[in-house]
Amino acid sequence: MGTASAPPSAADPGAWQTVGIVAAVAVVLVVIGLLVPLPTSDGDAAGDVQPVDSSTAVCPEPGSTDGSLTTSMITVVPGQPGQDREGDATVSFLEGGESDGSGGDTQDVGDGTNSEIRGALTAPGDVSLVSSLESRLPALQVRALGGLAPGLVAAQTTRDSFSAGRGLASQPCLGPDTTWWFVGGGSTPGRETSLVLVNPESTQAELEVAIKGPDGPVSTPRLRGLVVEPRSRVVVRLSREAPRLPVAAWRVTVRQGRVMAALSDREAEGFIPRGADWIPASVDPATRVLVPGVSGGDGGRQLLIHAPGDLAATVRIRLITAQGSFVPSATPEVEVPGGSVVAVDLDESLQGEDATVDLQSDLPIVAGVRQRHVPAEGDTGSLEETSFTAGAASITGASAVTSLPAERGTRVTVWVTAPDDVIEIEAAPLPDVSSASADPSASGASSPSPSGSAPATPTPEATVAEEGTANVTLRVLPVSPEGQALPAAEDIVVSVPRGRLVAVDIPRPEGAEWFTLVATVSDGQVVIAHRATRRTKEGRLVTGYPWFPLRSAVVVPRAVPVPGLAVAGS
Amino acid sequence: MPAVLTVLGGQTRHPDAIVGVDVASTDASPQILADSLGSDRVVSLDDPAAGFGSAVAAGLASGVLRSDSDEAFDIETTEWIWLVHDDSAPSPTSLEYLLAAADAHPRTAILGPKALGWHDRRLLLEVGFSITGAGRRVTGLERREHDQGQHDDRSEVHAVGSAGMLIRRDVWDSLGGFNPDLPLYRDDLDLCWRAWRAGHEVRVVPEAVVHHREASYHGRREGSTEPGRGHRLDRRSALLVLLAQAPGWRLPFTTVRLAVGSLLRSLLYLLGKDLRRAGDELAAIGSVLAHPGRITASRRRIAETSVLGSREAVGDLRPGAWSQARGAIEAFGGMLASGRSGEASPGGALESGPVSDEADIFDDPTDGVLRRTLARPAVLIALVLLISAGIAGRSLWWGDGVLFGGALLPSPEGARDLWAAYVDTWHDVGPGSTVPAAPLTALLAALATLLLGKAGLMVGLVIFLAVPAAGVSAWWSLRGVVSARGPRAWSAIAYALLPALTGAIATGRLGVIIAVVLMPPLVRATCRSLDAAPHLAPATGRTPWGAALLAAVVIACAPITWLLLLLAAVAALVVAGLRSSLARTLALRAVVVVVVPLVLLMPWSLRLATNPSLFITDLGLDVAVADSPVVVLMDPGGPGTPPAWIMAGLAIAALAALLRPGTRPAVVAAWGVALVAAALATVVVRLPLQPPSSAVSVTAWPGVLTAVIGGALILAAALAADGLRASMAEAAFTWRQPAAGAATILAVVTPVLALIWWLPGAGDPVRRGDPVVLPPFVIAEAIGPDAPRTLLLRPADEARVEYALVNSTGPVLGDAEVQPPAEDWAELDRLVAGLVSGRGGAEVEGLASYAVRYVVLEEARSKSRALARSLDSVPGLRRVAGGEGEVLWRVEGQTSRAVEVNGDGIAIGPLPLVRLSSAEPFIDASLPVSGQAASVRLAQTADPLWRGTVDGVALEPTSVDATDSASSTSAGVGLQEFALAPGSQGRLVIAIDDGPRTRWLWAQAIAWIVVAVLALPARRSAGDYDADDGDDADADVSDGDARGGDNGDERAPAPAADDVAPGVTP
Repeated sequence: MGTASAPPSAADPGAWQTVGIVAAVAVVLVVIGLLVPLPTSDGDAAGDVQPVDSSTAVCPEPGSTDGSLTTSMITVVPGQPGQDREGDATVSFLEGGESDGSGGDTQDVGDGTNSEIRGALTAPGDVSLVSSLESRLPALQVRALGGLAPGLVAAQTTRDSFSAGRGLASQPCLGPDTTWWFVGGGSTPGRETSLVLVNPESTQAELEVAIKGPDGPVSTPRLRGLVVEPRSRVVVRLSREAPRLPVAAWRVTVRQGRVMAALSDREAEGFIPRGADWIPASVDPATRVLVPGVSGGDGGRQLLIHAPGDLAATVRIRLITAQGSFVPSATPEVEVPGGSVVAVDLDESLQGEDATVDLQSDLPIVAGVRQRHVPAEGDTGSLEETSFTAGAASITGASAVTSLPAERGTRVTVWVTAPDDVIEIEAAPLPDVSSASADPSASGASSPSPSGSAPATPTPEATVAEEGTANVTLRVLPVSPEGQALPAAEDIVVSVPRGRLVAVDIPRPEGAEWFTLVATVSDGQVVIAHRATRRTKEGRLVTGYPWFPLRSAVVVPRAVPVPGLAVAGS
Repeated sequence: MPAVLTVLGGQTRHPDAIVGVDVASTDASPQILADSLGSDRVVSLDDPAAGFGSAVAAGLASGVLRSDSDEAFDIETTEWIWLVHDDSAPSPTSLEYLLAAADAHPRTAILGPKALGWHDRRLLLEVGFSITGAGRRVTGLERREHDQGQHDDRSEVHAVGSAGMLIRRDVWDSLGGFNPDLPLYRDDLDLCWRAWRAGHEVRVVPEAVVHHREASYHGRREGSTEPGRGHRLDRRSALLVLLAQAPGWRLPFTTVRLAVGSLLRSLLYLLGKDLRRAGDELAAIGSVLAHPGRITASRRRIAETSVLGSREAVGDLRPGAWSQARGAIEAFGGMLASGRSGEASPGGALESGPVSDEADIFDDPTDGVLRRTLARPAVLIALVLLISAGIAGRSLWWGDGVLFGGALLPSPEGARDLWAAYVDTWHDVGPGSTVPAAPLTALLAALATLLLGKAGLMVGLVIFLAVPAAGVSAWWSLRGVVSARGPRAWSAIAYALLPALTGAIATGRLGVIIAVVLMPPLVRATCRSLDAAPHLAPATGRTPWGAALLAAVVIACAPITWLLLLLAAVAALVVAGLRSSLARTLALRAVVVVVVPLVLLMPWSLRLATNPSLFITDLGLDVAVADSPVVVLMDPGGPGTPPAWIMAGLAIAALAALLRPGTRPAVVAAWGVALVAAALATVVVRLPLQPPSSAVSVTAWPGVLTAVIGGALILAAALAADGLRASMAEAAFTWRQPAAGAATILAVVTPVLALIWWLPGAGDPVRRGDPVVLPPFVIAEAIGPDAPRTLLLRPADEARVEYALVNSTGPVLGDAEVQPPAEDWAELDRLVAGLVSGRGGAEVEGLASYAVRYVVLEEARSKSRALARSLDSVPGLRRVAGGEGEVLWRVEGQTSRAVEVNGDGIAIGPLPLVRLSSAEPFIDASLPVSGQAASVRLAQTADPLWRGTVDGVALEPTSVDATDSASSTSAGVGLQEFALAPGSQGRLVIAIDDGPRTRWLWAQAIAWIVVAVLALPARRSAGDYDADDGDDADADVSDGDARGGDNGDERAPAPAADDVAPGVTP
């Protein structure tokens, strides 16, 4: 070629220039490539929030026997999104009968005719009261559609002053589900724990009930493949299935269909009742469980922890109180053998304070607390009473509890706990002590909300305020004895520092028999539990349970067709 | 002709008498004849249509010979006639040998010499010949066989040529000379055959040699026949001879056989785009059949002199069926050995011989075939790459199941399914789709058909052979561009190992794979069409059509190539305009190259035009592109691509290539292409593209563009490296030699590194296995008469859930391209979102109207567990299986593809389907089924192509609009419904109207055939190796210089003489 005789670079001055230009363009392209990012596949990340279209609530035992009075209260919390639509709500008894799970004949439970229904649900804010005295009733189902579906809340409260089931017992009416966890109950002599399973659907439900004791799983062959007929109720008594069990944990797994499950517990010593109540359902197993609503006072506070897996869980215990959180020196850590239930006595650690138990474990656990309320010393006329609490769901939006008593002699206390971050306990900084001294909870008085608290909307993830406080607005919705909604009382705004518990005594609404309490969390994430007490001649009656998020709106994700999903392993 | 006359004079045995016959020549021939022979020995015929036979007869009748013979010899002598053509030159000893042979064999009446080439003096033309049953002349020689005495043992033959034919005068007279109905061709055969049947012998004398130009046969002479009529005459004569010689009882069969044979040959010629010969074939058989008188005359002539039957006389000398078949196989083998296989166009079957620039392989014919084959670089490259592909793809080769993963959907059973997927109007994809299928499906179906219908094997071969095929294709395409073998081989290997190709293999992008393999020939053809390839042969009229055909295939595989073609065409036109020589032909060619592919891909290219994003996205499933690729370094990103730096050596070498002055313009041009492609890739990757079937934007994979960059840079480096060593060795030692050395090392190392990186594994996400995700009992129902669907769910994150609507066993190859448009998915999107949110609306009812019978949640992860709880609480969903793996719910209600709906819009019962295909009715049932139906609802998106009839009376199509339904309460929004008259009875038929699609496909098929015929190389004139014009020197497969056609057109009608010089010896 021509290069043979060409002098080095003098002959082609354009060569280097060309190389330079080409290289420069290439480098520019590389730099552009590095600087301009690729487009993200989906820009609009957040899903839509839409009101729910239907809600179902099932009250497991709206009736009562032996002179007790059970009232089921159903209401639709007003002010929820989507309530401007047309709506419809039906309250009906599930008259499919009842069995004891042993395959025997169904028992006669009445047909609901001897019950009293006050009020009708036609608009948000309406209240319906179903009460029954000394008659067993079928389970009650509430189905709300359209505009009445968001904010449906229902609960039943039983007041029994002197029979074997003496006590105040309350149970939220929940929707049917496929998995239920309970921690609590026992079958020692004098104690009876019954699992109530209600199938509100029109198809048969088939389920398994697994019972675990202190020594691990209890063999209960009859509870495998348990069938609950459509619109029927099955009651499983622990004393028949697993006698002489001091503590128990329950897992209900529905193989087909859905059920609503509730666990009732009553204890008597001879003829002397020692209290009765419903054991609230615990949240699904998790490595962090918060059990709110452990009330102060004397008696016994028994923490029950169950590790559902095969491996032993190491659980670290912390107590969150109004003064701050601490690790109990007596039992800072508990080893829970796999599949068994361990009871931990908290009395010594609590020292009579209200608390939320904060459990952190290396393996998922479920937990609950049995509380025995004994009369004060010297009060010989009073009897014992029992109440329960369990691992609670955290609440970031609205939450409501209904069927709270407002009569004379009753008192309702709400504990709002703002957990701190899930971090190593040892490294957890103690909350600001100086601000704790202000103690906004002492009188339940409102403290000004630091942020102009926008109406709460459920968000997928908790946004914990930077200041470390959670702001909760409590609204009291009273109901007259006739079942008419009364004007709401003034809102109570509570500011809860992180890692702290705030107890709020709800002022009793005047002229009301019952009331609904709505908590709206505007900042942060809390767990809430309440305690309702009633003074009687024989002593205080106590009940209460942890709260759960109000079903009003759901996050509707964006659905994207991905054809490749239909091929394995994509 | 003067040469002919000269050799006549130089015969060792001089002819006793010579007479020249001039048949109406218009040039100086008569004068030449007269000058050399004397005007009294020249006979002139004025009839230009007179054949050779008449000319000889005229020569003999002139009396010149008789008078010239020595009357003193009264003894009875055997008089011989020696026929010499004007275009044949007997060797000096010919006559002597012929006469000697005649003496030695007294029964012999006709003797002929061995005919050799005129220009190539050793080329064997014939050593006697025969005729096949179909009328083809057989010489028993191989193509281009050179004379080394290997056929000198022949003696008795069926026939000898008339050039140099020595014939006994008495036999000539008794046979009546040549058949006057055979003016130019086959007259020799006819004569010899008649001689045999008259009891004489015909003999070839290999010692006697004649060099024959075969002028008339190859159209080098406008003889007494009309221009270009040679073939027709030849065929006509052949048919006539065969019919004349056939035994009487076989005559009808022979006639039919020849007629059918002629039709077939004419079709083949049509494919070979040799319209004239196709016409000739038909005209020949027509002419023969139209003149039964000729046959009768010939048969009578034969009968007069025959003493033997045809078979009896020459049966042993005619080729048998076996030897004919062997000849065909050998010819085919010859084509293979010379590299005419593979990419060769179908026209190759009609081509006549090996044309190769690698003539060096013929240098040593004693080499073994294996060694000869291995010594060819293309074979070596293919072998090396094949072994590499075998190692890299070892996990994909063996094992059960089918190949799938990434963009690749599992292949269906056979080619028929793929064809159906292409041909069908309606596709059972998602909620039903009438999107036109992508032509890639047809291409894959065609490939599978070639593999005897094995679709799975086809996918495997496309993936495995991709790398070797790309190497061979690059090697082949560089012919004439890069002459040195080293750089050319390097280019081929480097191209085959580009990240674009390994990435496309790993992600199963069949389209990109085929596009990358076919790109080098496309670039070559396009460059030739656009006059952008000075190294290559200039474009013929056919080249752009070939380019368009190739482009159509490549565009069908990777639509973005059309943009590149458009850019190339515009650039070529601009450059031509700058040179102010904008030829109209160039513009026309550019239009052909750019527009014709779109016409060929017609129903689909309309879809491309209306959805431009399809030009950029790949075919197949979408594969997410995560990282930002360095496109300048040929890195498209994604699985199967090496780190970007691996290709840096190539880029540097290509930069260094700019320093070599001699090749700089071409190298700069290549760099220009690379940079334009890189800029395009940089932009394309960052465009948020929204395919028509998706409401979510996707990112394009720049595979094809990076392949273009890679190809351009490889070309740049190879161009500069071509002949570099020689020039460097000559030059004085400066910095240039080390620089060139360094660049060479970098360039060589690059493909080696790429290969090393690739060898550990070519798959993932592509893999071999079972692609079915559904439990068997679900599939059993899904392929039953109800054909319910299954909804697959996978929560991506809190705000997004991915789903798939699974029909029957799941999607198969071709389904990804026909996904229904996003608006058809909107209602499903809404239903699925509502279902997942657990808001408790009428979503289940809505899903049931889409025939969703099962909802499957994939894999119980923590996210999925929450969703499982949520779905558990949805009324109308019943969990039927559970456990730690997938979770399955059954949807309550009527979940069939077709249901009867009562007046309230409630589904009351299923209607059985006939088949899920547009080829057959969807529903064929007798009414009334339940008696309460107000309408029939299909779980398919409403489409105007649905047709419903009851006893042939059309039903009114209806559908529920989203606007006139309450937001969440009504089911069946946007689904196809047909209203039924109350109490209607009869046969209900619901089907898709596939008329429009069928018409499109016919139009498409015709367009392909027309363009293919325009693009195919025209038929090469058979057997004309003995050419002197040097055309064969640059024989190119793709341009396949059409000797027959083009030469015929180009040659000016020249005056020519058809002269005969019969010599007579006593």
